[in-house]
Amino acid sequence: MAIEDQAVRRELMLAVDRERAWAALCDPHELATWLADEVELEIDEGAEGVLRWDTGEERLVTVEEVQESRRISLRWREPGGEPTIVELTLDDVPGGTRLIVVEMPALALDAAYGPIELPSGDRWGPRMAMAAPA
Amino acid sequence: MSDARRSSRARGGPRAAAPRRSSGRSEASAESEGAGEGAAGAVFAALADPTRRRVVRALTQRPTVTASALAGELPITRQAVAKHLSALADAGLVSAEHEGRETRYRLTPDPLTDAMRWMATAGAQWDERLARLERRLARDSQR
Repeated sequence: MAIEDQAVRRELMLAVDRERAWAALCDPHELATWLADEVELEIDEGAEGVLRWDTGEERLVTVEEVQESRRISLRWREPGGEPTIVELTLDDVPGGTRLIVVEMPALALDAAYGPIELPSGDRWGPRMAMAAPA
Repeated sequence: MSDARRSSRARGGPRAAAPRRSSGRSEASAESEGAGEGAAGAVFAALADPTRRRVVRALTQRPTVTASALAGELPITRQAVAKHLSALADAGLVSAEHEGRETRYRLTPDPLTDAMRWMATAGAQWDERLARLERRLARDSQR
């Protein structure tokens, strides 16, 4: 079981350019059309917020990393649940933009690579989409 | 092997090592989704180590095994084997049974099922979200 086998990984080809795709990832109003039903979150590094779904589900979110037009990393958890790391990465491909989504339990990520201490005191792991096969 | 055997599975383990037995009950009944996710994290963490995955593979090939026997098969010391077995026990993947002076280890794969279930659930959620994203962007490009 390699690290990428322990993650949920999805790839999606989007028929839009990277700027348009990025807007869909980083604008809360856009996020509320696909990621969740209610988005109380700004996509800024260190920002905290809440995602809600009409099913009653809720995730508490911390934005771990933002690389303009390229990548967003979130750490989220259900109230009282274990955190998982979600990474959304965009790449230019012929005819559009490729979105790679990786989600895995934060505990597994820390165990595989060891956490990195950020100056903020936060801990952060590796670039998951980079570690996974292209 | 009776159910009266002693199990060290719950000893000092994290939340994943809830004293749930692998035998007799196939359903993880009253567990919430949140608890299942926690177990998945501990299981993935335990299996992130390649040597521990080899230990698990060795355990799938027989009902029980001693640390010495495992050390004979794997290129690591008995002490290292014991350490890995203890980490697996903390994740609820292995139980220890004491027979006289010997400790025999048994694979208890229920938490693996929990981990698989987490992957299936999280995967299905992403499939839904990404389908919505695709539809949204398709509408956009038609304008």
